[in-house]
Order: sequence, then structure tokens, then C-alpha cells
Amino acid sequence: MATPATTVDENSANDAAPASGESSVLLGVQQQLAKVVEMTEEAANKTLDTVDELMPHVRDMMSDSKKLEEAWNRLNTPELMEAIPQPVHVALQAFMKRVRHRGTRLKEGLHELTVAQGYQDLTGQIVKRVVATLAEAETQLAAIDQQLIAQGISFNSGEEATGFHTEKGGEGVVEDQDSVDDLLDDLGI
Amino acid sequence: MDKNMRILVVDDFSTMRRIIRNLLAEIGLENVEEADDGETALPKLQGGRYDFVVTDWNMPGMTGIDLVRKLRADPDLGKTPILMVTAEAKRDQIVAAAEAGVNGYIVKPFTAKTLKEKVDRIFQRIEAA
Repeated sequence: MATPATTVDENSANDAAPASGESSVLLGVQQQLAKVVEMTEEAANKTLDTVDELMPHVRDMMSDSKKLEEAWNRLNTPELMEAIPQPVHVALQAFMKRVRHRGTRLKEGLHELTVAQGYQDLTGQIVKRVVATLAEAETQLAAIDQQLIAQGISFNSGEEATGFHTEKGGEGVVEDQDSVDDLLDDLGI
Repeated sequence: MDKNMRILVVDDFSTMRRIIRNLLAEIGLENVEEADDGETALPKLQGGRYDFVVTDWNMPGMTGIDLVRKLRADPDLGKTPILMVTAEAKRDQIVAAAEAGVNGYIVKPFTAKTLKEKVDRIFQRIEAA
């Protein structure tokens, strides 16, 4: 089941007045970034929909195979062994074993696909911060623009961009979950 | 661990709420509800008995860390187990979360195994206490 796409600061992107060339460019960039979040969310949900659809089939297949294997083991008498050609016997047992092993791997793979969709949240958070930074820059630029116009001075952009760090290994950033666990152990949690 | 416990998953991204819900279901925890930030989570938590909260940190409205502080300050909700699942990976933030009273902390991206281990650990500790 698809979930409605999250909107990313659409209000700030849409409400801003395109007073100058700079601000209309920033507005366009914000709208494009909001679209990126929407598209990645749709793609992630489509993948999760497919996982949700396939997982019950894998479970049913494994459950049916287990029942068949149990029934086969109960019927597996010497008389039956003689009645069934050896190659069929061997092939059937190998098939049931394969279904069990490959079913387990399929389930693991579907879980990996589920967890991998977390990229949408992580990239979405970065885009949200960029959009917020752009909205702030736009407001500041508009104010500067107005002041310069009032003073009869033409606008000359040269502001230093602000940013943020999410990269691993940045100052004070832990390396991995093990480092988090060590730190929590130190804190008694 | 009671497999029927009532869980609230708080995250502003519906994709992440869905992922966490799916992974919890896989370990037998299916009584899961959702909220998209602390502001919508708090009245839900105050209005009904929840046994476990899984929350993101960085959300619009009320952040996860503020939600943790409000829960810990509430006499009725102060002992609700809380697992924080977040992209915030700075030592200072982990320390702040621990001081605020989280029972576990997972850094995104995470694996299904990590989520299961942390949930198990939280409830093993609670049951042992």
C-alpha cells in the first residue's frame, strides 16, 4: 500500500515572493529538492510494497515445503523406498532442502531490501536541511536587496554559504553502531 | 518480552516508520502505531497505555530529544522504555540522549539484526531489574 509522499517545506518554497533573480533561482532549487524527496519516497514505498507483497509468498512456500518434508519423512518407509525409484527419491529430498535454504535467503534478502530503503529518510533529512538553509538565505538576500535598493546601490552577491556535517568521521561523530554501544556502556545504558 | 505490547513509532519520514514497523513485525511485535513528530506523539502517549516508544531525534515540531525529556518528566509515562533511532551520530548527542533517559540508541542506517538486538537488550534489562 503506497503512502502519501511527504512534502518538504513546501510552504516556505511556495510562499516566498520571487522578488529578485536570486530569490527566484533559490525558489526553483527548493522546489526541485522537494520534488527529489517526493520521488525518492515514492520509489522507496514502491519497493516496500513489493517486499510486502512477496514476503507472504516466501513464508507460504517455506511453510508448505516444511509440511511436505514432515509428511515425506513419516511416509519414508523401506517399502516406499523400494516403490519409488531412487533418482526420484533423491531429487525430491534435494528439492525440499533447496526450498528451505533458498527460502531463508529470500527472506533475508527481502529484509535487506526493507532496511536499504532507509536511504530515503537519510537523504531526505539532508535535503530538508538544504531547503531550510536556502529559505533562510533567500530571506536574508531579500532583506539585503531591499537595503541596497533603498541606498541606491546595486546588489553584489558574495555571502559565504552555511552548511552542516553529516559525514562519518567528522569532529565528534562516532564511527559506527559499535562505538555507540561502547559509549552507552560507559554511560551505564 | 510481551509480544502484544503496544508500541509507538515516531518519525517524520513515513518510509522510516514503515521500515521500523516491518522489522518489529518480523520479531513478532505487531501492535504498532505511528506518529510523525513529538507533538503528535505526546498526546497519544498521554491518552493511552503504550509499552514502548521508538523515536527519531530530528523532527519538525517537537524533536525526539524533547519528547524523551517530556516523557521522563511525566509521572505516568516516566518509565516507558524508549529506543532512539536517529542519524544524529555525534558523541555529545548520544550523551545528551542518555542523560535525557533513553534506554537504547541506534544510529541510522541500521540493520534488522541491530534493531532486534537493541529491543531484546532493553527488555532483558527491564525484566532483570
